[in-house]
Amino acid sequence: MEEFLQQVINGLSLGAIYALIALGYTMIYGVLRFINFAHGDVFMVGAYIGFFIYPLLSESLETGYLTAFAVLLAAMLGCGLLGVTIEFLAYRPLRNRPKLTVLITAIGVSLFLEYTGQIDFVFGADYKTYPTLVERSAVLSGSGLSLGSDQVIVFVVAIGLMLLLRVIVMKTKIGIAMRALSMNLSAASLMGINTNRVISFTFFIGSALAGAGATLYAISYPKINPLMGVLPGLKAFVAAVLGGIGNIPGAVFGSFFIGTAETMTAGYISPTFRDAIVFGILILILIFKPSGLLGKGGVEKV
Amino acid sequence: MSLLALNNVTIRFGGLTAVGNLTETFEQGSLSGIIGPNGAGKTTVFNLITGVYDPTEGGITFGGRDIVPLKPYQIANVGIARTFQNIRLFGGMTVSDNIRVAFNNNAKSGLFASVMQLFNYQREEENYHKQIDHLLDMFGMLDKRNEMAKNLNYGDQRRLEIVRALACKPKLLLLDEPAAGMNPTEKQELMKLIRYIRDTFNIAIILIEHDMKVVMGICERITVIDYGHKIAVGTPEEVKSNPKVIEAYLGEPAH
Repeated sequence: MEEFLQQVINGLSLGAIYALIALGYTMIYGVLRFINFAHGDVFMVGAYIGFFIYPLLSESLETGYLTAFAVLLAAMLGCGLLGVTIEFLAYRPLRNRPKLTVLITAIGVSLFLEYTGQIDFVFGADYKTYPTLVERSAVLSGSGLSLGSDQVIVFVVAIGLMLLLRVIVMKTKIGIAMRALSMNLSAASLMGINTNRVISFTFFIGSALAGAGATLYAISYPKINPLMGVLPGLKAFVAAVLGGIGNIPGAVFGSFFIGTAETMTAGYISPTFRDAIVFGILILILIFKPSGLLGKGGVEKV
Repeated sequence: MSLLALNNVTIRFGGLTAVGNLTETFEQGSLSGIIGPNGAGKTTVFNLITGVYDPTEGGITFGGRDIVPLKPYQIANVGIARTFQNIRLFGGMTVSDNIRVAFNNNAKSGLFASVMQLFNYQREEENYHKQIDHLLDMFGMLDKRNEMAKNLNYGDQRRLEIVRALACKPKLLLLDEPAAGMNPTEKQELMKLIRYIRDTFNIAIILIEHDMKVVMGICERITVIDYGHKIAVGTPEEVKSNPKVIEAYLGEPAH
């Protein structure tokens, strides 16, 4: 039982990070109907922003938590701007082209970020050690369960950001515009919505969440390198598909599911299978419920 | 000065001239109709006015301003709103949120402005909801404000499209086949509604309609197009007795 609870704790904290990444996939899909394959690499850049900005911030800021918070904000802002730039330079010129063109461009952007990052004077190809933003201490101990302060922080920050996102999407002007766009882009623009601006905003929010995810990920797994975004990115994508791509609660649900499935597999079967199980789930969902668990069964109109 | 002026507007799709050399003006507060056989290019005219298509040749001015270079959302913001032949509501949103989208218009919706908006959020939101409720009340839909748009019945969906367009605070309202799929009673109500809108909001309305009773019943001036060209214009009586119009609808008389 303890073993089980332990895996649930680990799974939820991993799932919370996936959720932050998956939200970006699903929001961008929602408004533009394409998968931004560069999203995982935006996540990677987020980790490097933290890595480079930490020495600067830790000098001027006294307390550790304040520094950690500043690093988180910097990563979010940096990734948000990167996302907006990518959209502006790479995707916007292709707005009226077939979706496949944009999709392939996204793969191009992804490879560009991964391999530019590996150049020595950019990030360098070798592993770097992410600074310790929060000292790990046991919140729960003795009962056989281990719950680290880092896990609590990851979980709290992730949930906080998701709630904030929900308020933005449901209650604000721009959020309502985002939802309108995802339901009918042309009608939205004829109702006076500047669709390009809303799309930029969506990229900003989605990428900023990936930046937050990167900071939290690096707190838990402090080895970073320019290819670190590939696997978490793919798994978050699977989570978004599992929940129903384009569906925000679905992405969160899917992420917790994938995170838990992964840690359970690692704990009960073998750590070797942790990646296999995720992509196994992807195959099953694509066969049996391609619209995702919470997605609407949408038939593409031709 | 006319509110809307089309000046020699032409659009070609490949070799097909969908609209050719169309010149027409629409006055402030007027109630006009565009009719023509299927495929005559009526909806294309609306798409040209609202910026969905850019004319291949010719110019369009609204209130004296050239609107051809404007994007659809900018045209909506200068005061042209429309409904669609095939209903295009935001189905997964509530009735009141559908209207809320159209109110976005008159406000800055940039990133910074949105963040700033969070500070006087409450006041603004109350203001919007008052306006939304007022509009819904005028059209007898107040009790449906929290329903999903996709769950409304057909007549209400059509009505909501009109209300949403009005929330853009237009000076010109374009209605694309508002009577499509309605039964005779609903059509009667619709005619009353359109007159009521024109009189209450004091705006110009142009409607595309196949139903001759509706068009002849409410329009003061009718433009007839066929194969993208204007073949007649005038009051309902003039148009009805115009031989060219009869020919376009019924074919050439036997000699």
